[in-house]
Amino acid sequence: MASVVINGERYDVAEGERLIDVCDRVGVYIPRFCYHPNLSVAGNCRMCLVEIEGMPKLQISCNTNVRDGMSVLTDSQKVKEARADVLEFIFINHPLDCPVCDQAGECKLQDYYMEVGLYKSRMPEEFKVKKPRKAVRWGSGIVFDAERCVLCTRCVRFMNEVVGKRAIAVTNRGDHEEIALVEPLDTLYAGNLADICPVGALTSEDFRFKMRVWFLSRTDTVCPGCSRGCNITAWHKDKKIYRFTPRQNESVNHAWMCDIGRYSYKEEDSSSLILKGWVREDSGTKEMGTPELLGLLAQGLKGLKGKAEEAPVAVLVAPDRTNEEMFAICAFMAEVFGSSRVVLDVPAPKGPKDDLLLTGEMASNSRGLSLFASRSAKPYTIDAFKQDLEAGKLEAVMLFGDTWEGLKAAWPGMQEAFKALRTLAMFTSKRKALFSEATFVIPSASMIQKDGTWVNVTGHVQRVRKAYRLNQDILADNESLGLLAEFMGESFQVGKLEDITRRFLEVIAGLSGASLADVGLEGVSLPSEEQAKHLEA
Amino acid sequence: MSPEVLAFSKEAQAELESILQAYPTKQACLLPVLHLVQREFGYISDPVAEAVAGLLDIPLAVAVEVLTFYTLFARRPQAKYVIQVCRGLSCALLGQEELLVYLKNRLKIKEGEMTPDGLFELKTVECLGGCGESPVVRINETYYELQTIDRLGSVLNELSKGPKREA
Amino acid sequence: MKKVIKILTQNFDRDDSHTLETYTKTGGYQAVRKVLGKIAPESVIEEVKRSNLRGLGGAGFPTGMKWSFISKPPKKPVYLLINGDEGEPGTFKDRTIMTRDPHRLIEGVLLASYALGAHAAYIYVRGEFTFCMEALGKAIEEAKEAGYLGKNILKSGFDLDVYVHPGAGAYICGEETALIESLEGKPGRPRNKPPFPAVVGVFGCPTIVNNVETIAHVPQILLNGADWFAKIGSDRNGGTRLFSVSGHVKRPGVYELPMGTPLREILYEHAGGIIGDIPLKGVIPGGSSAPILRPEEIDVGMDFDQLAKIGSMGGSGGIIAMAEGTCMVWALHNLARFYAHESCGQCSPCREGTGWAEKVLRRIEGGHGTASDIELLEKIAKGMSARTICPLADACALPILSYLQKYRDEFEAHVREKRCPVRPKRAA
Ligand SMILES: Cc1cc2nc3c(=O)[nH]c(=O)nc-3n(C[C@H](O)[C@H](O)[C@H](O)COP(=O)(O)O)c2cc1C
Ligand code: SF4
Ligand code: SF4
Ligand code: FES
Ligand code: FES
Repeated sequence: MASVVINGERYDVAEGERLIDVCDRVGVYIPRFCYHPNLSVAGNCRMCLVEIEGMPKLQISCNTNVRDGMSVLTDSQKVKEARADVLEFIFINHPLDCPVCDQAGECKLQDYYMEVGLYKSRMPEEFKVKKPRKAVRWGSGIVFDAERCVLCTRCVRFMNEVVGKRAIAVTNRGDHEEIALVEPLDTLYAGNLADICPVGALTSEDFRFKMRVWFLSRTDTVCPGCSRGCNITAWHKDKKIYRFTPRQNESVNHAWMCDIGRYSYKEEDSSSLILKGWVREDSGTKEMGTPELLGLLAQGLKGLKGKAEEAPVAVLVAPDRTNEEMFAICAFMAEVFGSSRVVLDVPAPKGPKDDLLLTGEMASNSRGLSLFASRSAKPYTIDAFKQDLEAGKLEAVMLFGDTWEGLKAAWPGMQEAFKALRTLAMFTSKRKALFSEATFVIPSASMIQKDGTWVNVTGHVQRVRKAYRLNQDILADNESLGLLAEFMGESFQVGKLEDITRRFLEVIAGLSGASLADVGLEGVSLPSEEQAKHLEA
Repeated sequence: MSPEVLAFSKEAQAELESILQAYPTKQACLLPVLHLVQREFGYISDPVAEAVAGLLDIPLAVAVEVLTFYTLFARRPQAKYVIQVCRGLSCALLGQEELLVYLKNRLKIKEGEMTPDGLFELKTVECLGGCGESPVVRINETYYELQTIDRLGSVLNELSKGPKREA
Repeated sequence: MKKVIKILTQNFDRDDSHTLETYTKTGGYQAVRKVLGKIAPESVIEEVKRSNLRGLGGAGFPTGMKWSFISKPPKKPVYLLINGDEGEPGTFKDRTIMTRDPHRLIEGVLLASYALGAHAAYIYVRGEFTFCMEALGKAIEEAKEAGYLGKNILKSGFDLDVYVHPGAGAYICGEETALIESLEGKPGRPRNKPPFPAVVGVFGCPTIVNNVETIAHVPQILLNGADWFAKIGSDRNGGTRLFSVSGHVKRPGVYELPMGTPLREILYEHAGGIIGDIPLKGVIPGGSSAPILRPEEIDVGMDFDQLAKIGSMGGSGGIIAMAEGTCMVWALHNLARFYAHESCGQCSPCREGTGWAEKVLRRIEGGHGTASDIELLEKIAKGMSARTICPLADACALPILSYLQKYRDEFEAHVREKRCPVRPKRAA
């Protein structure tokens, strides 16, 4: 441990920690363009200059490692002047048309010059170095606008260091220096370029000019794309999602996310979702409100209770349900039917897999399900379910979730087999997930419409957060099961979400007393198997 | 690498071998190899740049960065004689500007242009490190020092006598 | 006539000065025989330290001290890089060593490598100097054949390979970390320090970069002793240096003179005075990056410390004399254009500042400037000072500030009269 003094305040630091990181951690403001905590240090923008005692020249805080006893000023006159000067240099060859720039509101240049009050550029237009005016499509959803580029080389370093493909080059030199695409980006991570570009030079074709960021609300949640569970922010307004962007989490995704996940926000659009449920009657399907639907379903299910030694009811849980939903489903089956016929090993669809983020397992909570299943002495597997179905032991099946492609691929005859059922109730949010064999469809809350937790591929428990609910008919599965039990006249109670989370964490990890609040924004890592065994012992 | 693009003469091949053994990394060979390639082919076309990148196992982006950063690499065919007038301060103090005007008038081209017959190309360059004998004009790789309009005139006369372009 | 001391240029008046034969006949490769395997590397470094040899590439850093930054024993191979980029306007001295006495450089390289524990050295030669590369190439071959390079040199057990590396047209590659990048096959963009090259240099290994002239001094220092060398120069500035004199002097050229020789003597005795015997208007004492001196300042002794004391610098030893009748705005514009052309482009203040300064100067010089342009120019220069990765931005800013300070009336006259008052009808 060492300590440094910043603007007169003493802080504990680790010797060798980067000064700019220390400042970020303790909330001391340092402007920057080129520094990014997940990329190598370029030190070229010179915005992060600070005064360090004993050094005649200002030093860049991004390339300074703290030493014990170091004394730093970040707000002296000298530092402020340097910032204003450097900013002015960056600004002279930059267009002055923020109102029409797509980055407005998210541009560091705009933020900083507002701050130092640099409104008018001193460089007459005719003297500016002219770079091509038109925005160029770089492919992979990225648009490049050379005249806005401040040459921080973040994009170059991202491609080199994170993606491992040197597609972007810094060409020429001096004030003719320009970023150029040399080979196709051709990566599933291109969207990050728009995030890391500190100005409006690299933007997302998808988001470009669609919406000004300052109109949008944000909800911090987790990407549903694959079992990595990249931390994201969902940007929305009036119950409509405009984009997902990654949120930094060093235990999960650093500052990145893949484009599959990024553009999966579209699946959260109301046009892709089931807004109202229905029941299949002889005359066809009939839309109705969720309470009525659940009432109807409850009647049917009630009759099955005690019909055989084990009621002819089974449940499939898709690997995208929250832990809380899964917990409630299992509890419902156990308490209402005394049954353990809950399938938790529905396979996730396969997808791209790489060394960066994509796990190849395209579902958000496979790990949560499998961890929970592994706590049971004799888990009810998909094979057992198949046998029961073929043996005619089942009359009603309830499906919870949206992610069935993996199961379909593994069991081509599945839908055919479902035809034999009297009741096939689907608690689903997405239109595309529906089976034509369904007799009940209960609109389930999609990830953006509910709270809960998922466990990612490395055993990290993370929070999914509700941004909004599209309508009152849409319910999270734990909520609908509460109603269903009530309509069946059962005393079973689901309990509050926080309580479920607590019980879940206790059951799967022996983390007693851990709560949703503990999971927090960053999530918590489950103890490894050995640690868990140790805890139990 | 496509061998047709980098078809070297025997001497060039030998030089390439000696370049390759002079450095611990292949990328370090890039500048000398680009010089060699330019001597062989007159300029460095995009396919040649790509072939060099392949030969040295480096991303094309690195080759592009290097080619555009340094001033001595030509990415387009050049005139038979590239006239480089030093515009550095010492040369400028001793009459470089007059030389440039003379050359423009005589060749009827502007800076950065080539005569229609492909014989001469006119450029200005920064200090050539020959200020003791200013003004300096470099034509291809040869330094012509202490230049005056008269001297430069006879140099050009001499050069104009040869064949317009090398075969 | 003053006593003439020639160390580096002692053979220059001979036509065959570049041959191994001439060099060995005149005491060449004697230092190697004396030192290799006989004197400990640490003692060699100590000797060089005591000689007060200063880096002659521009910064004047004490050479022996620089060498001592290589930690011993080295965990990785050590590299010695010789800076023959010679790009600073007004400088043309290293080329004379490379062409006229290449063996002196090679022997210096050998001795320095021995002191540093380096077994590979690269001589980075500016791309335009193909004649230097040829001369060095031949000399290296000769030295190899004579057993001065290669394996087990003079049976001392010491191995060394020396290679010539071509630059490709970029002044910035003279900056040592840019040179390292360039040698690695990249654009010459200087590195952030730390780490310093002595810790992480070329190919990730400890590296020392020295100027051609600096290294060429080493053989005689080790042969004749540190005291001999130190005594030739001035206080803390050992030996001689090669002054490149150009501009409006009668006898431009390279002059080897003791450190501390007065600028007046160099200009008026050695270089023969100003052409046409017109008065001097200003003189750049240490390459284009050095702040300009007015005629009343030329009694300064030409060494790093004395020049620093009067607010200029020794730099590369390039002296450019400007006679009355020279427009200082025009001269400064020429320099600013050079720096704008040569900025590597990575630091925002330098990338934008050099170009901006050049444009403002163009405006003033063309008679289109306003009074506020002069202040703007000053602000630009100050804004890019001491805030960048390498000193190129300062090399542009320092002259600007000095010209503005010392010839301000001339800038003001341009703005007032809306034309150049000094050379009104210059060629376009
Ligand atoms: C922009 C710039 C250009 C330079 N150019 C040269 C050069 O051409 N030759 C040189 O020897 N040193 C040059 N230097 C100085 C080198 O960085 C370095 O200090 C020198 O090569 C070290 O050798 P020395 O200690 O023997 O002088 C330059 C420095 C800067 C900042
Ligand atoms: S495009 Fe953006 S990220 Fe890339 S160098 Fe320019 S400003 Fe930086
Ligand atoms: S100061 Fe200029 S030349 Fe030096 S590193 Fe920065 S941009 Fe490049
Ligand atoms: S953030 Fe430190 S120099 Fe750019
Ligand atoms: S100024 Fe022309 S060679 Fe130096």
